[in-house]
Amino acid sequence: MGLNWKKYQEHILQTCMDSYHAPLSVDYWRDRFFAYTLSYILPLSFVTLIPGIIVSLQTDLIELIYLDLIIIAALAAIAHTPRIPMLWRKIIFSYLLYVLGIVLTGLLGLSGPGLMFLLAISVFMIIIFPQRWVYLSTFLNALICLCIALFLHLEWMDVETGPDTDQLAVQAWLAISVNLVVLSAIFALLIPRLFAGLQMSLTSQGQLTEALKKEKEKLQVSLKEVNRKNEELEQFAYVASHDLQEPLRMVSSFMKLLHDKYHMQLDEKAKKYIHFAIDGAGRMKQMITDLLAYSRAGKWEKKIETIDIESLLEEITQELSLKIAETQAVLENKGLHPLLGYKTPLKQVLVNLISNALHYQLSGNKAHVIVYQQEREDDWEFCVEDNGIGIDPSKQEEIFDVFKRLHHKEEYSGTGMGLAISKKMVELMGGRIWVTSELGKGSAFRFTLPKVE
Amino acid sequence: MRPIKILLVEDNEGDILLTQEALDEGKILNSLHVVRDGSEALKYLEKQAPYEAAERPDLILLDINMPKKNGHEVLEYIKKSEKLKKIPVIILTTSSAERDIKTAYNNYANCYIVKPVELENFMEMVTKIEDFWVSIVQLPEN
Repeated sequence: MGLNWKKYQEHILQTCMDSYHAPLSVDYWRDRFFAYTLSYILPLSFVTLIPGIIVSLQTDLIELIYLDLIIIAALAAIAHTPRIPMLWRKIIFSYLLYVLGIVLTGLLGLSGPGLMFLLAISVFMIIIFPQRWVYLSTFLNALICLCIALFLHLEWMDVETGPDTDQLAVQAWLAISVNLVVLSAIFALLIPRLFAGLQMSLTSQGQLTEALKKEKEKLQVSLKEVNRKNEELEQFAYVASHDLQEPLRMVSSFMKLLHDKYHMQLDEKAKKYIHFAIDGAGRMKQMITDLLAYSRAGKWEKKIETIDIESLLEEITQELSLKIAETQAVLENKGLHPLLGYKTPLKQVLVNLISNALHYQLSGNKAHVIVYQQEREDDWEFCVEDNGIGIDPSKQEEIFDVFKRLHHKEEYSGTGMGLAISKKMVELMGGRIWVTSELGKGSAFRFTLPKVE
Repeated sequence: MRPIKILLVEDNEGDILLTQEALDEGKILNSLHVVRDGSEALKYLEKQAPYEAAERPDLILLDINMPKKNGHEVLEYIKKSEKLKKIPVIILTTSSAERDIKTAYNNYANCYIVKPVELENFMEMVTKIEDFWVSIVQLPEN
């Protein structure tokens, strides 16, 4: 039953609504309101019809029954006939109700529902018709009331008003019907205010939605642009570093060949020159290799897997065993726990951080490195802590930049790419990386990895 | 052990010289012929002018990035030719791109070598190639 009612209502809405008005306008809601009115008024009119028929039969007003039936049929017709402009449906609707109202008033006078009908129609008209017709119903009501008063005065008709004499009947009619006109006018005055407010919120909401949509589109465009630029940059770095290798290989190869083959003819100074050339080429080669590694840092197999951190650390320790033995380092770990994520970049980041912890030590100092893992609400936090030389607080941000080095190459070797690569990898995995450190007392590098479902 | 004829297809003069030097240091006196791009290589192999007197090589060292015809095109041509396809082709290039490696093997390259960056390694590689293809491998007669 409920379903059928919905279907019936939907049918009326589809038949009547024409798509002239945007959904975010008061006019659209006027139309919709009217269509709903039609859907409700048909079944409800039967409710008023039954007592009407009973009363009509008792008072010998058979015409009223016919009129009721005709009006109900006409209402059904305007609700169900397709391809009539909405405005005409409304005009016919109002016309029918006016006819009913006038007839009821004429036949039943003040004891019938006539005036009530006229008031109801005027409210409906204020709601369903465009703003510029707002006083139409007030005017019509006034006109009808005056006509009836005139007819009463001319004794062309006889309305049940109570007082017996005609003159008093006219006065009583005017006294009562003026209320109708005033009420119509009040509604005509007030209801548009409500609509104006409604339109204002609808408009601002529409503007907001529009602005939001535009903003979103803009964001999409810039996101695409950023992605494209990133890809371009990676491609550039890859190609550049690849092509840069080529001439560099020539420089270092022939410098070495010169050194090897003409060893005997060269004096110490010449050999020194050659040494600097080879050394420079070597460092540049390392930088290019690192740049290549950086440009490739985002290119791991995007496969989420369960990572056993404990065996991952064992693997790493194995790989770094030479350096560990060399520095007589002690490696500890705490709170290790398997997690879901990308193994390749996680391993690379841990390798980088642990190598740094082993590397940046005062010579002769026994390295002590602790790897912590901590579970938090949305992510895992890793910490690689060492007892090394530490980092000046003012430099703790920039050490993650590409080719950023804080020391002379004679002091501590390296191209300054490890942390930049680590940062890129952590951020691509959706985490962040930072350091807390005190100069001379060691550093603690922390990074987070979001939990993956 | 008879000396073999090697065709080097390479546009980088430095690498040509380095290969030459390395081969010169080798035990066997192999003959090395050099062409500097892909279309020259095809002319050489097909004995077209100015290579009418060219001898069929026993081994081809082929670079990928070259002007005119690149290494992949040359390789494809060789391996599609009934006459030439028996000649072992070694791709010798700076490219370590997965795409290049796949393409080369798909076109029946006999092996793919990325040029070592260090001089020592480069020299060693050339001698090893020579050693392998001359002393260890049995090559077909023409």
